[in-house]
Order: sequence, then C-alpha cells, then structure tokens
Amino acid sequence: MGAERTRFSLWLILLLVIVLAGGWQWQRGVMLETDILALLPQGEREPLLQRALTRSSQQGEGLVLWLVSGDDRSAAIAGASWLEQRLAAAPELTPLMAAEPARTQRLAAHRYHLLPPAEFEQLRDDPQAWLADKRAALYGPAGWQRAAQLRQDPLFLHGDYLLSLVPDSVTEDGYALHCTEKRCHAALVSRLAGSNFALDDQARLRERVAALTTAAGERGLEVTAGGLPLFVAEATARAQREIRIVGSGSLLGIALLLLWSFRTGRPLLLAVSALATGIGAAALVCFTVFERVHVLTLVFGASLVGVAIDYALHWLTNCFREQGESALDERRLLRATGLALFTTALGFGLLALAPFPGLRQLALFAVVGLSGAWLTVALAFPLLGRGLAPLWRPALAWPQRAASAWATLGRRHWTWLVGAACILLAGIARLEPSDDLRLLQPKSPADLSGYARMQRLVPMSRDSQFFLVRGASPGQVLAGERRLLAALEPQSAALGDAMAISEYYPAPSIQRATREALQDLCNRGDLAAWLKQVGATTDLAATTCANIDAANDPLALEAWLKAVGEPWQGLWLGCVRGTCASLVALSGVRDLGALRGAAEHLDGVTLVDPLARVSTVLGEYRRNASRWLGLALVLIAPLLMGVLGPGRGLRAALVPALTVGSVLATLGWLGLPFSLFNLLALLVVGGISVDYAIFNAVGGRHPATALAVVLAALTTVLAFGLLALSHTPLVAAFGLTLAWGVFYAVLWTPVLAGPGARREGSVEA
Amino acid sequence: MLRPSRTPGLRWLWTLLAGCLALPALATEALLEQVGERLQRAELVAGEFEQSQRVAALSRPLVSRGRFVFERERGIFWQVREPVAASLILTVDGRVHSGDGDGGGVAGERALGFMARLLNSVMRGELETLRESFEVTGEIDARAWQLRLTPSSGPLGRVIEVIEVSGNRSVRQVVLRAGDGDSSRLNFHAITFPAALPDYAAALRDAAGGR
Repeated sequence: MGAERTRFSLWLILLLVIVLAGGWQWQRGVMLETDILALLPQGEREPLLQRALTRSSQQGEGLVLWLVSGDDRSAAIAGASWLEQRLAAAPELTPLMAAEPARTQRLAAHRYHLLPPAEFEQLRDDPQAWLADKRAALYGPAGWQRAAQLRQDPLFLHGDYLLSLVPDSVTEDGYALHCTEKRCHAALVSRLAGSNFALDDQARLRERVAALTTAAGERGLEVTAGGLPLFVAEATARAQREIRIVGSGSLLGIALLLLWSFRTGRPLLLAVSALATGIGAAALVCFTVFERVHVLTLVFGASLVGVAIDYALHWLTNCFREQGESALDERRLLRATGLALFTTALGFGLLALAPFPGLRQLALFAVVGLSGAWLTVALAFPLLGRGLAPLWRPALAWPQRAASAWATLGRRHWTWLVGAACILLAGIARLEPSDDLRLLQPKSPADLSGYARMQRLVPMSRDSQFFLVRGASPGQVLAGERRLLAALEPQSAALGDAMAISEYYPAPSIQRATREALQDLCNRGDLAAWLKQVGATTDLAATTCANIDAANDPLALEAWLKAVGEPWQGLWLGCVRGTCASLVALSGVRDLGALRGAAEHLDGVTLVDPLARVSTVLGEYRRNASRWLGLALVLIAPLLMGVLGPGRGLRAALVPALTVGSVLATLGWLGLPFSLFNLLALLVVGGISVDYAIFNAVGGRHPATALAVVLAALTTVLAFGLLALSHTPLVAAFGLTLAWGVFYAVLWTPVLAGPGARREGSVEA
Repeated sequence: MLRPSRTPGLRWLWTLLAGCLALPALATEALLEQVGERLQRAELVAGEFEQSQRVAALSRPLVSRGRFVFERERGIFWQVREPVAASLILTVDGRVHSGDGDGGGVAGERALGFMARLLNSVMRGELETLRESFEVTGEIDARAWQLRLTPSSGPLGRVIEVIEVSGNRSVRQVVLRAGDGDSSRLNFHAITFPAALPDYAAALRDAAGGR
C-alpha cells in the first residue's frame, strides 16, 4: 500500500515537472519547422544556396495566378480590369505588377546611362543606324505618340528602356494576354500576403477565391485561379477534414472498445493519462533539446500512441486474471512491459545515431514518449487502478481458442512456414523504392495541368529549377551570367526562356560607355542634325546635350534593383563573406540533362533542382532508416534470448522480423511503391510486434493475454489504420502499412511466441 | 425601364417614347450595318498611304509615305518608304512585328498595338467591335460614309479626343485627334484588290518568320 502511494507521488511529481516545464517552454515560444529541406544534414546548406532555395520557393510559393477568359480580347481585358479592382480590395493578396511609376522616376534620372543591350551595341557600332531607327519609329502608324514625348525625352531613351523591361505578352493595358481561336485569356498575378502554411491565411484565401469566382460568374466571366498557395490550402483543408473525421472516429471507437471491454470508465481514463504523460513529456523534451522541431516528428510521435497504449492495456487486462493462480504479480508485469519498452526504445534509439537531424528528433521523441507512458503504468496505475475488478467477463474463450488452434497448426506443419518464408522473400525482392515527391501532394491532376497552362501565359512565372551564379563581386556575377546565357543560347529545344539580371541591367562600364557615346553624338553635331531633320526646335538639342554632360555616375546595381522591383529584385541574392550570387530563372524547362551539360564547364555556375533535392533527402532517409531497422531487428534477438531463454527468446525475436517482412512482401506483391513513410510506419510496426510477442511469451496461455493482444491491435487499427482511407498518398501509405503490420503481428505472434505446451500448465478459461 | 401603361390608349405613346430613346442606338447599329455593307469584303486590299502627323513639339508635320497590304486573316503589312524605310506587320489581335526581324522598341509599343487593332477592325469591316471602346456616330450617303469615334473609357479618353474614319468601298482616311491638339492624318489611295499577296508583302511575312 505504502509502496503504491510512494510510486504514485513520484508520478505526480513527474507530471508536475512536465506541466511546469511545458508551460515555461510554451512561453518561450514553440517553433515548428515545416521545410522538408531542414531534414538535411547541416553540412550541405551553404548560406547563398540556402538563400537561393528559400527565395526560389518563396517566389513560386506565394504566387496566385488568375486567368480571366472571354470570347474575345476586349472581353478578356474588361474582365481583367474588373478582377484587378476586386483584388486591390482584398487584403490577403497584394498585386504583382511591373515597376510602378513612382519608382521608375529613378530610372528616368539615369536615362543617359541605361539602354537595352541590343540598342547599346547598335549605338556603339553604328550610331547613324541607331539614330535612323529612332527616327523611323516616328514615322510609324503611331508615331504621333512618340513625337509627343520629344520635349522631355528626345531620343525616347527612358521610354524605350522601360519598354524593354516589359515582356512581349503584356498589352498596353498591362495584362498578359493570350488568344486562341475561340477564347482570349488575360492573366493577372498576385502574391499571398501571408504565408502558405499559416492556416488562417489559407482559409481566407480559399474564401476569397470562391467569392471572386462566383462574382465573376454572375457577370458572365470565367475566372480560374491557380498556384501553389491554393494547392496547399486545398490539401490542408482536406487533411484537416480527414484528421477530424478519422481522429474523432478513432477516438470514439477506442473509447467504446475500452468501455465495452471493461464496463467501467476508469480504464479509459488510465489509458488516456498514460498516453498524455508520454506524449507531453516527449514534446517537452524535444522542444527543449532542439531549437525547432520538425512537423514530421510530431506527426510520427502521435502515431506512437499505438505502441504506448499497449503497456496500459497489458496492465489493464491483468485484472481479468483470477487472483492468485495465474495472475501476474506486479514484478512480472513490469518486467514484461519493461522489456517491451526496452526493445522498442532500443530500436528507435538506434535512429539517433544517424546523421540526419530529422531522424534524431524522431528517436528522442519515441524514446521519451514510450518511457513516459511506461512510467505512468509503473508508477500511477497501481494506485489509481487498485481494485479494478472486471464487472463482467467477456467471452475470453474465443480469442484464446483461436490463437491456440492457429499456433498448434503452425507448429505442426512447419513446412508451410518455409513456403511462406519463400513467398516473403520473393515479395521483398519485388519491392520498388520510390522517393517521388508527389507523395506529399494530394492527387488532383486536373489542377496541375490547368496550372501548367496558366504558367505558360504569365510572363513572371518560373519553373522550380534555376541556375545559381556565384562570383567574388557583383560585376563578376553578372559576367558569369552573360557567359551562362551565351551557353544556353543554342539550347532552345531544352529550355523555353531564361531570365537574368544581366539581360536588363547594364554593367557600370557599359553605362559609362553609353553616356560617352551619347556625348559623341552631341559633339559631332549628329543629335542636332537629327532633331533638325525631324523638325524639332533648335534649343532642344542644346538642352539635351547639356543634360547628357551633367549626367551623374552610373546607376549602381542596388539602386537599380530598388527602382525596378520585382521580379528582378528577387533574382539578386546579395553577398555573403566575399561571395556574391544571383539566380537565373528558367521557364519552360524540357530537358534538365542538356542544361546541366551546357553549363558544366562554366565556373561558379550550378544548376539547382529543389524538387530533386527533396527526393534525394527522402531517399537518403529511407536508406538510412532501413539499415537501422534491420540492425534493430537483429539486435533484439540476443536481448530477448537472454531474458526469455534461448528457445522462446529466439522465437519471440522472429515475430517482428517476420511481421516486417510480411508487410514488405505484401507491398512488393501488390506493386505499391515503398517510400520513407512506409518505412516509418514499419518502425512502429516493429515496436508493436515486439510488444505482442513479449506479452504472449510472458503472459502464459491465458485468455487475458489474447485479450490484451486483441485490444491492443484493435486500438492501433482504429487509431491509425483508418488513415489508409486518406486522399493524401503519404498519409494513406502510412496508415495502410500500419494496418497490415498489426494484422501480420497478430498472425505471427501465436505461432511463434506462444508459450510452450510443456512448460506451463494450460489454464482454460 | 418603362412601366407598361395602364391605359391601353396611351400605350402607343409609351412605345413611341421608348422607341425614341432607343433611336440613337438603333441608328448607330443601322449606320454600321450600312457601312459594313458598303465596304467591299476582299481577302486582300493593297494601296498606298500618306501619313501626316502634326505635333506641338515640332515646327513641321511628320509626313511619311508608303504602301500597305491588308490581308484579312493576318493583318496589315505596312511599309514606309519616305522619308525612312521601315516595315511593320500589324496583326489582327494587336501585335506588331518588326519586318526587319529585330524586335526592339518599335514592336513593343503600346500605341502601335492600339493602332494595329483599330486599323484592322476598320479594314475588316468589323465595326461592331468599335462600339466596345468607342461611341460611334456618323453619316452615310450614296458616295461616302464618315464615322466619328469618341472613346468611352478613361485611359483611352485621356489620350485621344476623337477618331474620324471615312471611305466608301474601302477606307480612305483615318484622322486621330489627340486631346492636346496633336493630330495624325492617314490617307489611303490607289486602292486595289489583288488576287495574291504582292512580293514585298510576302518577303515581309517571310522575314518576320511566317507569323
């Protein structure tokens, strides 16, 4: 009695510590990491590359594309203008336009320095031809508009430079327009003001899109919206719905199951308290030890509930044994569950040895969580669960009889075991590992193709791959860009378009040369002659030449970037520790290999493929975790043999191995891809099967044992097997693997880990 | 909307009033129909143009002369021959291709796109589309027709005051008057309806990549 009280107070102290420390940690701020690249080992992330990856993902991540379709051009433009007004009133979206007039004034002040590259070459090589072209433009059908600018900008320097910044598809109304036979589409781009992953922003975005689409429909317009924020919002909404359904369904199911089995509410409360303590302790320790905890860790940790609840269930089903005879005393119970905990923790703990921060977090979470749950069972259950006598005895006979029959069958005809093993091996051989990123996205192929179509129409949208150009100074970076662009010139089959700062921003030396060339025009009297030819007044020449002479220093890159804004500002990555870098954005990538080859011999130029990197991360994790899983399965054997005796220990150790093997074989035979997430589920399955094996070996041939296993299996399936119904492939894979794992564990346990018939007296219920 | 009259006797009066209100719109429709009928629909229209642009900043008007071919499907091949040599293709949907093959500032200019669409609409006889951006008034008699286009939307109205288009079997003159007194006058003459694309236009089309 006293011992129980002591233990209970120990547990209370533990709980208090968790609550207090948790509160303190919560106050300090709880930081979640959502970037999957954060799972990479630290060494790989050099600062400029990291900045490039973040910038590139930000560029694509936050963009929402709008497509307004109409029967003809004017309908599309009118629709686009209406949508623009509505978007301007939407606080969660900011418009993404070409340079605003207020900022381009800075460019006007430097108009004698800034020329589009092709014009500069013409001015330098053949100034007369350049002047002739400028004059020719005056005599075109719209020359009157040019002529109207003559006073302020005689050679249309500022105007033509601004025009060179605007992509071809943009019309005079400022929209990107694309017309096919029957329809015209106008494209608008806006940026999500908040973050892709903030749940509130997502909800607001979806509402806004729905509202705008409906309002447009009422006016007879067709508006489509696309972009990564929408995908993420949809996926999250769907996942939330599913989690709510599955979560509440499984909680209800588990509660009902426990209530039905025990006919009182106390077991349920006890089980919940064990789980809460475990998960709470695990989360607390993780957030304290690691600066930022990855979302994947928490999700995985939640699935450990399926394992942690086994300890509680084993203890609770003990109350179905008659007092005295075959009841397990405290010590044996603790030994059994302790052994189960130890083996499972060992398996997960090995993950901590991997060089991946993500796996280390998983290991710590698992070990602490399971230990917390076990401690609750060991310390608090004796007192809290005292006097828990079953109010009824369920039909314990049937699981026990089924298990015995099945076990005897298995042991007598061991030849078929060999056959089963062969089938297993064959299935495993057929396994196809897959690190495809599409696992992370829900299936909606229609959205993706529509988005691809929209992307082609919008000038500022880019592919996720890009080139990273590095140099010791901005000038070197720009020179490197020019070399890269020259190398990409012949690759028109592999690439649609590339966008680099150097295509638009003339280097300071070129800016000075431009001004000198203009000064030459003045000194030679060519400008005066040109203006006279056109019919302008003579003082205009004098004023212009004076302005050219008075022109300041060239426009520096930073100032230019501030003036032109997006998208060029996003391409410049700045300088870190003596290295400067910029992005060269790509669109319409068709052949990555050709691009890589074209840029291979260039110094300081790297092709970066973020999607492939994520796949690589997933693949490395998968391989690493597989090794540790295999190692853990092997190490369990000597441990169990030491505790349970050689024969029983070995057979018990075979259970997790065969369970995992069976699941792998099933995946192989069904041709399903095998990814990191299947593997994570297999880790949990390993823990579960070890628990069942130990319960069976230690618990004796008593119906309560079978009941414990059955309850544990059912709760796990209820908690997580239902995830197999999810629309997200990742979640479905996890749930399916877990469900099969539980099924196979229940199958293999009686065959291998049942108590020997000679060792213990059989006790019939 | 007019409520139907309670008194049957007065109904004819309401109808007449309604009819009067609708008259201008009907008149425009009828006018455009008639002009459309008058304009000869041909696949190819060739001719010469003279363009005179009067701008406040310049002491004399900018005068250019050249020739053009209007192809119904593609657009207008516009070749300036005096005082400079320049070639353009003004497509139906408002894009402008420089005939010399190099893009540059000429091709991307917004005002050019507007002119391209305007000239193409008028020459194709798709006068209904004009009503989307302009208020159209005008007259037609046995020998000629005139249309006056006043911009109805803000941005366009700030730049252009009125556009006057006139012609008979084909478009003869387009006069653009800007708000600040500048004007641009386009005269078309020596109109013919060839059976095939003249050589210079074909060469232009090929130089621009067959677009």
